[in-house]
Amino acid sequence: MPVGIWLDALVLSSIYVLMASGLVLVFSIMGIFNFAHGQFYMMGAYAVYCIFEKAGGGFFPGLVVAALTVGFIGVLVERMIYRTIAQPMQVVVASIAMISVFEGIITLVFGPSPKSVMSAFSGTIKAGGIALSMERAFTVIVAVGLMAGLYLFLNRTRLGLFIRASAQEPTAARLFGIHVARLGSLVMGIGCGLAALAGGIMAPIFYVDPWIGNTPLIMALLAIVIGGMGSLMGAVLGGILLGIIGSVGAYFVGFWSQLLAFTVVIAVLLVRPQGVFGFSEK
Amino acid sequence: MGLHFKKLAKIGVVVTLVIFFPLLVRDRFLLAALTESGIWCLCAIGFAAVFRVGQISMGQAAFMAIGGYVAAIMASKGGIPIWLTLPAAGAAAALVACFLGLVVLRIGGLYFAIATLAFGEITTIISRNWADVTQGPSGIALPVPDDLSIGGLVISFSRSALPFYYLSALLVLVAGLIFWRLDRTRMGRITRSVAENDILSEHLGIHLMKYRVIMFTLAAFFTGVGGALYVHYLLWVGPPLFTGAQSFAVLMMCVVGGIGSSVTGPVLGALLLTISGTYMGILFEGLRPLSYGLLVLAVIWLLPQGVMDVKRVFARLAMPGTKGVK
Repeated sequence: MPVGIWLDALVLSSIYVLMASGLVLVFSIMGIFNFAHGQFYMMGAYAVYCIFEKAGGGFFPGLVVAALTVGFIGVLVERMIYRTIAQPMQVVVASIAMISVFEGIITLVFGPSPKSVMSAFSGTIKAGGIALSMERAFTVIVAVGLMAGLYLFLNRTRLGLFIRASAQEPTAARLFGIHVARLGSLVMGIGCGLAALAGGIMAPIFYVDPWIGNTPLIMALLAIVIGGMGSLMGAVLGGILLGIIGSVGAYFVGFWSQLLAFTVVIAVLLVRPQGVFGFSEK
Repeated sequence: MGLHFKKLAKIGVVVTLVIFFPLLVRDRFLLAALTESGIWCLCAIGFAAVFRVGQISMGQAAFMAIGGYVAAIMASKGGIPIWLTLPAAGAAAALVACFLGLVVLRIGGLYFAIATLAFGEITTIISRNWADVTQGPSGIALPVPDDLSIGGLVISFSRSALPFYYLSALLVLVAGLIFWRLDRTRMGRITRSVAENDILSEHLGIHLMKYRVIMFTLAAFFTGVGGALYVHYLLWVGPPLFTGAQSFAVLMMCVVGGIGSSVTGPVLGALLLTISGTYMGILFEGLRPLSYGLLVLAVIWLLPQGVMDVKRVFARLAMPGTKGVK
């Protein structure tokens, strides 16, 4: 088996991990799944397309702008839509409706045809007789860096402590003077920003069209379920596992590897509903 | 009994309206939209039935797909008439739902929602890749259903769109009556108590799994019939017809219509979203998804309890300061 397959697995894992960690953060604070999370991924890819491909800005400024604008859109959506509705079932449906809204707006602005983004890093790394794509290696490094940053933020800063406290016991956190609703907005912003970064770093590798957000969303949901709902570490491990299934599985069984991912999830749910890694906090 | 009489009178009025509507309004697009609404009503009623036992199924389109493919294969390969393919499609979907339910309903809650979502994706992948049976992305074309003759009356599916309209209306009526009656039996009260508090219900001696599986299976039956009807109506079945987007659409219909009721809400939601979706497609073309999403958002924003709640909101507008009739 070529080593490139494992690099591809890591690239896929990076998308799923970035998506799943944002989604699980939002879930742990607000108690709902933001089904429009994939569309934030898609908008991040479009932001990079605009700035990097169209306007000729650099790739990194493109990523930063993508994260900031899409994160801001996420905060707006949380403040103006999700919070005003406030009933779980209705919020879920509102987030599903947001899928059509975002896809509709992007189709209106950019048209339905797929766009390609030029490669930010060309060339290959040669290590021990194996050639690896620079671009893919870079993607994985960025994703790892982001996850490390998120981990440090959650575990080493005061704000991170507040977020963890609110996720565990919202009422108690409020009693200790934490503004949980404001944290909800912040977390939504971070989550959507991470999704946008995932979309942005993937844009040169894959293509960009208004519907690219659906698969990463579903994979992120599955990663969360594999890892145990509400657990960040679980989501990360679930994402890595799904990336490996998606790439290494595809090498052996082709298209049916998709089926494998879903079957693994259902199997996990049956054997260990609290998640395979058992980090479940709730 | 008085209340029942009033309800029956209402049903009578609706049925009369449904029967005479196409004779009064001769609009081809509206008739097509209403026929399609009927199909979605079946699925939405099914979703609401599962919601009745406190579970959210995010993979209802999978049962439409199973019903649709079973009907398509029966009709195209075996030339089996539509009045046999519909129940067979329902039975196939119900069978799958029963087995799936026995496995995934044990976990329930959010996990059930994700498991059904995964099941929906699995059916889409299978329909796209199992080319021997589903013919992959190109899908299966169906023949136009043969003419039926009952007594002296000949029902021709090839000459008019009316038979499909009446067929879908009839199926919605049957499904609606079954679930409406079911809601008022002992089983209906049990399912409601299961939805309200499953732990307490279990301690009162209610076999949770039994009622969950029964409702899930029953819902899948009608969803499968709906899928089969859709396929017969479009004369084609393929992977894009029943995907996660359709499962989400069913969920949106139920919440937009009003999740508090077992039949009226889902039917209203399916009617509203399907008909407005059809006209949005004609009027705005490319803007259809955007306007569809905005419509759903607007309804949820203005009427959190769904379109069903409109009476209460009007009462509040008419008499400011009161909470309106409950």
